[in-house]
Amino acid sequence: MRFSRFFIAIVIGTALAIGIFAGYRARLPSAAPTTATVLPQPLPLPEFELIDQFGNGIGPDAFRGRWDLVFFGFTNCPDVCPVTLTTLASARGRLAEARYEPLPRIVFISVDPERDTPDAVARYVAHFGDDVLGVTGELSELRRLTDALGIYFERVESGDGDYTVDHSAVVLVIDREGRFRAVFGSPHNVESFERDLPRIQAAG
Amino acid sequence: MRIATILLLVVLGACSNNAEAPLIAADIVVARPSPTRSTAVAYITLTNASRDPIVITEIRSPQFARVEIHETRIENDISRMRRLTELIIPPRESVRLEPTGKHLMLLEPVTDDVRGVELQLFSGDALLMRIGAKVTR
Repeated sequence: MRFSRFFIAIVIGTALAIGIFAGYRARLPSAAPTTATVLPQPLPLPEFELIDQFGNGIGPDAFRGRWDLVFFGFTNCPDVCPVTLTTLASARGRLAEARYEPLPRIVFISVDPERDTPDAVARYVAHFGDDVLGVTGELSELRRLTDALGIYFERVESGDGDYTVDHSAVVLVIDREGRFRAVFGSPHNVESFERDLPRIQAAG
Repeated sequence: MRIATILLLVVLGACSNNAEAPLIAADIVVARPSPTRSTAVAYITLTNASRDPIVITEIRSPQFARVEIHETRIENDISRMRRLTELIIPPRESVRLEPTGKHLMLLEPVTDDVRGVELQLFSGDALLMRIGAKVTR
């Protein structure tokens, strides 16, 4: 009888240990990203000086010490920009619900600085959650940043005095060191960010 | 992903006064994509129940000075939006105007606070359909 109880205790203990280990492994984002492309060598951000939604100067130092998801767009963009920002906010929300850390900040950088004043950007990003930073600034400074990151944008006249802006629709991942680490190509979906961002972060 | 979720908007209502016509409108959303701008965007599914193609050449609205048909295309990770001169709906088919695709841009509102919109769809001089919808935020 004593042997039998001891044996049962061993079996239960082993099962618990396996269960705990399996659960721990399942939480580890050890696999490679399936959607995002990770750069072979992280690319430090160049020197630039833009303006955030509060009117403060912002440069590469503002991207150190936290993870950022960066999207380039413009507030007059009717669909791609609000859809992408909503996707990013939803992904961040899901990670927060899962108590995942570190949560990324979402950064919206305007490629239409002529119309997108800091105040306009502030009102725009407020619709996508609390931890969304809006950035605008001088065109020349914007070019310094986008050229270094391979981001494309071009003003296109619509012929009626108005204009639109063609632009890259990718989302960049900037790591804690302020380096361009990975890129999510379009189309974007919540699940890709929810799955791949932790994997990118786990790689260091 | 649902449009309502994407844009944080809710369709408040829409109607057509021409339900028995060959052109059928459904899934209508008129929304302001940017809180910083007074223009609006409209998404809609148009179905051609007839045996002939329907060509929409012009769209008017009493609430906006201009309504344009646009198309957003993402190619090689670059988003490009262009104006279309017409919208062709093949016979027995539907054309869906949706985010990151074809859509209507409602420009230059004639009043400061546009809450409801009427869209008038024309083929040449012929009025095909009137559509009413509320504007969501």
